[in-house]
Amino acid sequence: MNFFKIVKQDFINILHNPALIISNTMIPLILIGVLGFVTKSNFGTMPISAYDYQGVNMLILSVALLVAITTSNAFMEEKVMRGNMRIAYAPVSKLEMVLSKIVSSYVFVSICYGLLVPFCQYILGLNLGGSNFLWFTLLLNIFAFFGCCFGAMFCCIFRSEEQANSIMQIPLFIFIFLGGVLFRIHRLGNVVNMISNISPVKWVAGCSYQIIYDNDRHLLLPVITGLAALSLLCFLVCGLLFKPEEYV
Amino acid sequence: MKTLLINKFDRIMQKKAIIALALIIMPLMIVFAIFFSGHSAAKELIGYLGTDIDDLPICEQFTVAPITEMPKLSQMAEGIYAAVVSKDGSGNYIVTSLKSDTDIKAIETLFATGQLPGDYKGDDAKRKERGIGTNILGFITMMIIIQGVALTTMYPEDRSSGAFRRIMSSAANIGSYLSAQLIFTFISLYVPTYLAIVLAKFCLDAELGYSLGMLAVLLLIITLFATAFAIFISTVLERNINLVTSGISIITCILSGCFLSISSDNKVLTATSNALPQKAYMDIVHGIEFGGHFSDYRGQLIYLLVLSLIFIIISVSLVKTRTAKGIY
Repeated sequence: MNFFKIVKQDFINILHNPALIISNTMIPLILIGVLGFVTKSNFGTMPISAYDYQGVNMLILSVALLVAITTSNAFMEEKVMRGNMRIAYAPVSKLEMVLSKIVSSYVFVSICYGLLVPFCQYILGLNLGGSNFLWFTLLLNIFAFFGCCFGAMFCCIFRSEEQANSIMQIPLFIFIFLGGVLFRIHRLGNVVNMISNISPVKWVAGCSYQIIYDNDRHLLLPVITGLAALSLLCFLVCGLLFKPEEYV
Repeated sequence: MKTLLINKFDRIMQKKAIIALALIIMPLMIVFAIFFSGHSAAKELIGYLGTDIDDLPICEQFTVAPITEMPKLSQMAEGIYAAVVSKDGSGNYIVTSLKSDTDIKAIETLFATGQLPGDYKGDDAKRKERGIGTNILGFITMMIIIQGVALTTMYPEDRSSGAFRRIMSSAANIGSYLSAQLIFTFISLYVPTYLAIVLAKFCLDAELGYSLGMLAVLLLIITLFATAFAIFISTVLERNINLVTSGISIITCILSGCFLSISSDNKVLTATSNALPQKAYMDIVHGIEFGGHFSDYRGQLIYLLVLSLIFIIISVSLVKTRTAKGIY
């Protein structure tokens, strides 16, 4: 019961933060618009237009970049820290505390991207898989869960919001670069291609292309399993390193 | 002011994460960027579906290779194949590609006549035309703007911890505090970035597009701007400073052509893009790489400097009114 109360409170805290709401709803749309526009001359109109292509890529990029930051804000933002201290004194286990931050931000981003994908597909008319868009949404959703765990892990390692946020962006940018969602990296040679397989963004992007363009879902299960395993790993690191008493 | 400045450097030593970011990761990413800008990627691949031609066309911009089955659409989206060409019953070439009609026509011509149209430029050729130096500085521009705000982190921290109010009530005043912060941000942005570039130049023997002296001047301009912007944004915003800056800088940098040049007929977009300071900077950088001189870009230089000055003036006056009202 306590757990749900904390989750609810954390969730309300996120809703009170306009920057988080704007960045998880407006920023992906602006990115799709801007990049679609910029790369328009590199694409034809059929079967994939620049907007379709950037729609898939920018949604993946936004999940990769913004979800982790959302969690670290929900976890350690200055206004939340005081509340965290009080929870630390209450009879709540420390894992519940971490989990509540992950769950509350996960619920928040699930709602955001759960609405964004159908919005792009049906109202903006982008090709995000037609009737397959639910599978793409599911994939993004699991990826968002990994993002939440990843953000929480960095908070537990660095113990301060701004440090976690600024350091976290480096591995995220490397994942995004290797994932090929900002620009295609396939032609940079075999070595880069081999290294790029370590990037979860690459897995998600490859799987999404297959779902959306080939109507082929055989990669979905392995990718989801991989992401779940990584999430668990991040959560274990949180459990090992999180010490609420160090915030005093 | 000297004490305040020394204090900043002393305190940053305590923040290992930020030190690592400024001194190791940021230079590494710059070296990385320089390496990949000079690194020639493999040419784009065109697959020919069929076995009837032995002497596939050879050209400078594409590699043509025979394939046995139609690649999937997802492979084309990933960029493994730029285009697939096949022959229909009457001997015409059919090009399947995600590229624009101009590119498709050019590839048709390549197969029909054995060479690309003379004035045709593919994506790679266009990138090369932009200049290596422009590509490198475009990336550095975005990094410096984001990093500048990260390095100014002590200023909002002072405000929330109450140290700022105590400094204000001491002999130090707003001017000296903000100048100390400005100098600190400027030095810790400029020095590691420039050293990284010099390092890349000598260790990787990378082509930079400019002489080292010219780069020092060009870097000076953008660092000045980024410092002023960092102070401004850290003054205006109370929370979520990192998040907001990342969002703003990524979007404005794309719009101002830091990564790809933008040409469009859309008036609103062109006007927006022209108003962005990064665009003015990219104009200077591009012009100078191709033999221009600073005197040709007086307008852009003045724009950048005035904008930086306005950022600083707004910050100072905001801090003044807020301190007077006792908000801090």
